[in-house]
Amino acid sequence: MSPRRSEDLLSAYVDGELDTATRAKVEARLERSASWRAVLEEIRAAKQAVRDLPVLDLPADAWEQLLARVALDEPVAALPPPPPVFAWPRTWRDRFRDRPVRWAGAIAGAAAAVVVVAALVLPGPHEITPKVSAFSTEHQARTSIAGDPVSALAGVEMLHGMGR
Amino acid sequence: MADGVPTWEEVARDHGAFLFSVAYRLAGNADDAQDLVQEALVRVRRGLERYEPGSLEGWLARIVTNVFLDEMRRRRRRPADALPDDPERVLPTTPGADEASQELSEEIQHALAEIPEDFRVPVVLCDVADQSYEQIAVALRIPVGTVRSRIHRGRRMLRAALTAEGAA
Repeated sequence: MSPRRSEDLLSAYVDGELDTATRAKVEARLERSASWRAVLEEIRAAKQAVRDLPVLDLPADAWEQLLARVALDEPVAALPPPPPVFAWPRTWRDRFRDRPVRWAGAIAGAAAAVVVVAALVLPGPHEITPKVSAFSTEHQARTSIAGDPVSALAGVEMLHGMGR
Repeated sequence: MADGVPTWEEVARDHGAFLFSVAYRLAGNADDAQDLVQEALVRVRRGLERYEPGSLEGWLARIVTNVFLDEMRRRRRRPADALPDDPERVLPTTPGADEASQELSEEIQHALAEIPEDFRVPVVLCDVADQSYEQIAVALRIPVGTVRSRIHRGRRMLRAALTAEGAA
């Protein structure tokens, strides 16, 4: 510890703020150091000077001014509670900031639901591709039976609703 | 008084002089000290529900110190509000004090006011408000070691100023 910092111990010594071991070290040093004893006396004198300062009475008009000051503060405390008013809901950003984990779970769940619904509702690749082979087979069967390719085609149209 | 908790009127009546003394030693003049006491008592009134019976004067000293520090910060932000250096400012008289002791008190007060705020405040809290180093550290939000150092340096400054004035 530097000499200056160790000298700080003298004020703590005067104020009774040292533990037993440090207090003993300070007392040992005070016994062998005249300069420390001189500083100690200065510290004690300064402390005593401030402690001896008298307690001061409040000025005569202080009480009136205090009551006036408190009266200014009074209406704030005495006001009735305000009537309930419509409050806009908090912003989504605020809600997300308050509970990010819960919101992340909700978003992930919603995304999964969208994927499942899309898989069920949207047509698969086999449904989009025209059933050329089935159409061709049916057409061949009709033409071979009727022997009339035009009437056979008309039947196919009716069958598949393509004539409109 | 209910459950050991005084009303704010009782605090003002019974501890007003203590509050004013601490405020005066911190601020260095009666007008500012009176303003500090008023603001401190308003805060006492608002905060009495949270007061837990214990060292009432310690609690009051912390409140008036916080009011003082808030005011100092406000004035630093707005230098135009800084106190004028008024040589005609009169110290409050002490009831029952003779002329010599009044004069000595004024010299000590003057020397105390000359000490920079960083050192004056811990000295006042220790020697006027009887606060421990731990309590001062909490009130000023500085380490206990810093409190010890500032009190020591503050006292040495005070002693030097008093010696220069011939008061001690």
